[in-house]
Amino acid sequence: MRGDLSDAERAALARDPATLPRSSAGRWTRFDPKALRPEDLPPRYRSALAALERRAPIAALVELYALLDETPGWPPALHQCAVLHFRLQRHTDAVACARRYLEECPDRVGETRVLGHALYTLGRHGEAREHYEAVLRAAPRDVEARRGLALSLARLGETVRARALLEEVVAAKPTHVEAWTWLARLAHDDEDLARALVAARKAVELDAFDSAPRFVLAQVLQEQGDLEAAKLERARFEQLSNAAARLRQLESDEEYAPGDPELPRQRALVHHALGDARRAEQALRRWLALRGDDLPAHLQALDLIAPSSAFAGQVAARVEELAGTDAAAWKRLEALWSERGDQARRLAAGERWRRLERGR
Amino acid sequence: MLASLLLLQVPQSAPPTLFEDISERALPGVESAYGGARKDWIAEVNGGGVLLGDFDGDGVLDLVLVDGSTAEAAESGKPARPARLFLGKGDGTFASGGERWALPALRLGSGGGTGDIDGDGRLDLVLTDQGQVRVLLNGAEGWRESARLGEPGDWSTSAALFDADADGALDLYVARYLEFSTQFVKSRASGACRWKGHAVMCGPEGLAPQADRFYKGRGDGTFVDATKESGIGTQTPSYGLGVMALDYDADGDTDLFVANDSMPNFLWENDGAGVFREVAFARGVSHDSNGREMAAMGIAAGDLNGDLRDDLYVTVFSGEATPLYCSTKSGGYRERGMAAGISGPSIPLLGWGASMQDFDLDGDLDLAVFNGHVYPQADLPGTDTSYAQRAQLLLNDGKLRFVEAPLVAGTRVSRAAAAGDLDGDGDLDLVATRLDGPVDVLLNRAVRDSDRHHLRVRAKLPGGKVDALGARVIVDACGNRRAAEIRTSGGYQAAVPAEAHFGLGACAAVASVEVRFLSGRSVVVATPTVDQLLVVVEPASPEEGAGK
Repeated sequence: MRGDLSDAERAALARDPATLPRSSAGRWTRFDPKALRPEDLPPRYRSALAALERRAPIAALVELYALLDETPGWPPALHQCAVLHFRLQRHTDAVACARRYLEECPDRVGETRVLGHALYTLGRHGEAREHYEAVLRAAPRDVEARRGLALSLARLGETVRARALLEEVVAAKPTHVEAWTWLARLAHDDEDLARALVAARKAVELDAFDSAPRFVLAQVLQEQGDLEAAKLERARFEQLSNAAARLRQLESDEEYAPGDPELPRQRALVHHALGDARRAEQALRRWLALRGDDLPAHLQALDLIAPSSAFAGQVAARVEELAGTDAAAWKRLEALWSERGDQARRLAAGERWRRLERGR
Repeated sequence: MLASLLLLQVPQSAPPTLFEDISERALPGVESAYGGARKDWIAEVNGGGVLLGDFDGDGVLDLVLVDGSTAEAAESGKPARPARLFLGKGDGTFASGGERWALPALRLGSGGGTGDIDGDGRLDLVLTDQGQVRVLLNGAEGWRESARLGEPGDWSTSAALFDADADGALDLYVARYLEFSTQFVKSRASGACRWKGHAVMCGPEGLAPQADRFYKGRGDGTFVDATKESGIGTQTPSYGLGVMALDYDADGDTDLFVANDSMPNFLWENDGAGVFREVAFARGVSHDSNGREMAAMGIAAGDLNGDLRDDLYVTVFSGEATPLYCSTKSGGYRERGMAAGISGPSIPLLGWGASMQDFDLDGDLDLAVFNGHVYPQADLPGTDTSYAQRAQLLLNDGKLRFVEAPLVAGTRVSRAAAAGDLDGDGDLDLVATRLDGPVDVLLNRAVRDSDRHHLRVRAKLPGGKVDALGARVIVDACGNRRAAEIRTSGGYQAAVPAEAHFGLGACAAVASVEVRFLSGRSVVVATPTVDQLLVVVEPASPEEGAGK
């Protein structure tokens, strides 16, 4: 892993958000982010957003801290700090930033579900519950806060209310895989296997590559005595679970080394091996963005993409731009355009590589 | 660091009341040492072991400490400091065993197991190591090494001596960790491995796990590698750290639970003849409740819910919720850590040695858990945890909800732990090692400070000399029936006394004690006196009556 951080990045990671300077009392109480025009955004904030755009969260943090030193308590920066720390799995710091944000603008609690998420992840489930409840009072339609409240209650042993809230979550967002998974899990805990089966199947249907619902599904099938089906689901679960562990590590490494192209490439390979074309494509896009004009990388990517997909067409078009006198690349393109049924490009590519071969 | 302060503040507001920290007078000047100070290698962070047992047969618990060296010293062939035996004085303090009890030097010692391997009535030892396993027989003249098991490149962590096929000879399960050498594993200083942005030692992920081994005992101090024949060889090699012998399905033979680091746990179900099949997934103890493999370290077992089957508590890495696997009517387990109130508070902690016993003698099982991180870098910013951590006393409210009480003041980088009645007063005391530093000896005051009752039960094979490992003890006291198993495996690199302990609360009249031996025979003792040590001897034949 290429994990070399700049001195500024190291300093940002070493900094305790509690040491950020405070604004003069009440300065941001009435702050309304909606009133901000893009041209009003401080340059450092724009730099932070640009860093986030290139998936460099620590570089973004450097800018945000600098901004908060210059303009103490500026609310969007504090809020973004909380989100970034949560993303970097630095949950105590996420809590500190979110609390500071609420000190500056106490009326904006509806935007701070990230504080609930951080508290929950730290195991402070009672505090998470209280905060999610506060968020929902301010923003009753926040589905993720409702999910967070449900999970906090489940962790506190209040499963009846947790289940009711999860039902509300899936009613509001029927594609919420995690909520379906937790519904399955809570039903399984209560020995309600029929209900657990329905919820687990729904979650698996929504995301065939998520190991968590597959785990519950396999357990339920096993306990119902459907051993053949359980065996199949377990085998798939183990495959997904191993991949998930690897992906977690890669994603975590990537946060700290966003410029290392090997990490998204590895992610793409893991997703591809599972057959998860959508996530493989996302990882490949990231990889190719980091590889720039690297022809072999684009050719390798083509091998991992369904030829008929739009993304394959985009990558092939880029290969055409980069191929130059590389006969093998044109030959590969000929095959791809053939698979896609684009006869004109197939012929052009074929002619190109044959000419190059003859010219050798 | 803020995280450290939080760890210190939350549950440490009141001083410990149940346990008295007598470490300084119990083992003056005795410290454990494991690895170099910088912890550059994974081989230097797991810590040593603690084995409690009555080695000199005087009725008082003695202590074996197994620890260390450094990765570089071990690799260069320099022997580690010998394992050390301390003789109990009966008041919770210990004296050096001296030459008579001198133990051999290991390579980088891990822990071990205890049991009467040769059936002579003396407690023998198995020592695990980053090297071969040593089998040491306790004789009139001192220790005699009867076998070395495995290969020099093995890394064995925990061991369980138990009788897999009820033939009276103890067998041995050895959990093994991973392939390690400073030649091919990168050090922390290389910067190759990061955790939350900090350079840390590498592993276990990315290193080759070693498969566990099963050895069939011949009863004379020698063992035969029966990993393949026993079914244990069917496993996926995993990073084994903790092992617990238990009859999880209460079918009269001894099964095994193995805590694996960063890989699914094992539950080896015994067919009664010493052939095992792995059923952890099917029984619901392989992963956490979200289907994630955990970095599992230690194990505590006991009958929490009164169904006469063992429940399991497994210590895990920071950031993971500690699971509590409770037995169900269908023969499996459900993870109940959330409902029990233990999963949230455990998240910042990295647990190792744990014990499930009725520490406050109120009639239900509690938990003592020793914690400490593997990375000294846990004290750096942004980790949400700390290197030194508090130890936890989780007191059961009788309804399977646990409330944390202070166990011992301050924080420490703890590792293996074992519970036993060091001062013979009827409540259970604790001994725990630190990665580097003094050994913690905590004397329980429950008997002294309350009018609660207890009962200790030992079970012996016919003849009365040898502990009947695997026997199940069922106590019927004031309308409550509870079971405990006679075993010496202590979860993480630890051994405990072969004794079942029951807290009885205010109940002063026990209706019966039933002991079910592996042979299938059982003995029922009617209305035994409370607050005593009851020794139950297996009859040599079904017709013979019980001995007491």
